[in-house]
Amino acid sequence: MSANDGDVDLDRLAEYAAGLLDPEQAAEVERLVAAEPAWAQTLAALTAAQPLVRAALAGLASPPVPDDVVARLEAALPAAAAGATVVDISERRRARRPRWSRIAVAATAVAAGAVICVAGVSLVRSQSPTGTSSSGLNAGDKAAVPAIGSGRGPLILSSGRDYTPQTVGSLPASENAMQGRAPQEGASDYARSGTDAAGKPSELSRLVSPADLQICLGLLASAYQRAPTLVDYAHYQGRPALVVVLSGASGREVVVVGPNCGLPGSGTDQIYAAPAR
Amino acid sequence: MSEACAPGLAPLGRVQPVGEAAASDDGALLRAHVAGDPDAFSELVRRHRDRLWAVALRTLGDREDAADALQDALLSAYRSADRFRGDSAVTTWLHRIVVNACLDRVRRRQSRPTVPLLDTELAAVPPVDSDTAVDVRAALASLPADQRVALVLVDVQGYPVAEAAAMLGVPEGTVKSRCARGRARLAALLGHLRNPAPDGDVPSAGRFGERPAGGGA
Repeated sequence: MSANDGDVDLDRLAEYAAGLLDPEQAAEVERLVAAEPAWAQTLAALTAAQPLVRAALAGLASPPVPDDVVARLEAALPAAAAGATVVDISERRRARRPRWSRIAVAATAVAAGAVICVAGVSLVRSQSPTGTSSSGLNAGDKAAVPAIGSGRGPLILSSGRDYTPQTVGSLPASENAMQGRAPQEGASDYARSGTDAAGKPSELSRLVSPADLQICLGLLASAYQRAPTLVDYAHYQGRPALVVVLSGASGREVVVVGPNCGLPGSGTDQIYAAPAR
Repeated sequence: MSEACAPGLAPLGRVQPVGEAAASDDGALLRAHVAGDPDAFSELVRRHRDRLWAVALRTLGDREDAADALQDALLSAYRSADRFRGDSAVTTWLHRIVVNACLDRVRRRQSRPTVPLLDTELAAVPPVDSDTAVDVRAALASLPADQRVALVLVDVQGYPVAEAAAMLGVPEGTVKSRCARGRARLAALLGHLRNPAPDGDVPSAGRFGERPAGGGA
């Protein structure tokens, strides 16, 4: 026993009240309860509080998984599926990735797909390595969140173009509409500095990773309940930006997001959004 | 111990007993995933994600940490599904992986003392008599992790002690002990143990709240 029997040992008293002590330990607690008012009062209070505490805990019902967390999971599992079929190509790169986008470096291989160059605009069609159907977590969300692992992802451009509120709404919805369009774009629309060979602003390099891009697009699809059909690595009013066209039964929306789209705490990093013409 | 909460106390969203058919379907989905069905694991997650989220959120007390832990856990489960031997229900196995991911995160947080244990909303544990949900969440978040996760599984989520023990990988007696100690500590933190009589010398909530973490049995 402790030096001072008047000091209530709450853990021991709690286990006694719950009937968890062996007979010898229980007898010792009973002796203390009989001899020490503090032990007796605490035991009485503890017994009375039990239903209150359990009711309070039972009242901590949690809401369903928030949509943005669902979008993250929607993005992570298809990426993992891609990773499972590909040799892990870059442990070192994984170590440098933002924490929750580390999940699928091997998915870099997912971006391998047909590369079409039309007048200096790179067109990359995301393709599934397995040709499988969507791996979306929620069947109800599948239409709205096309995974990179799905058979037909969004058309991906790297125009580097500097969009304005006047020009961004006129983006085509898809590859078909893009045919023959790029050559007519004025050269002055294209940002010349800070772009890589393919025209991507260097500030957007994180979003070149299929896993990170998928997370960003998943958030947008969840927010707008429409599927991304076109993505352009570009600028918006001089700032590096990803321009995304989202299409659904209710129409098209052009959403412009910044380099932090999909990073924890940044949400979609949205800069601008408007119905597409 | 009647481990589930008393009838009438269950709020919406509490765990309902998993029927045999549903459990069997879970097993079939996991086998299909291992066999290469690209949609099977997603369906399994869709079935259980709300409960897994609740465990992560209430155990970690921080939304971002909970999202990270859930994602880590599901990816781990996805990759290790072929090692599931069927010794427990699939949902028990999933919960165990989520709980372990949460406890890993708690340990990492404790090794970085400059990072607040709780988000700002829950940082202060007001020693008041109110038992509003915020107070309860804050008090719960201040418990030792082993007691907290036991209470989340048994009292918040309503799992039987035996199932919680399987999820935690500890004996049932340990779960009972952690629950009993955790409830007593919560009673103190919520002000239920303070001076029941004018001359009583029952210690204050603050004193109990400051005691070192007690281990499980």
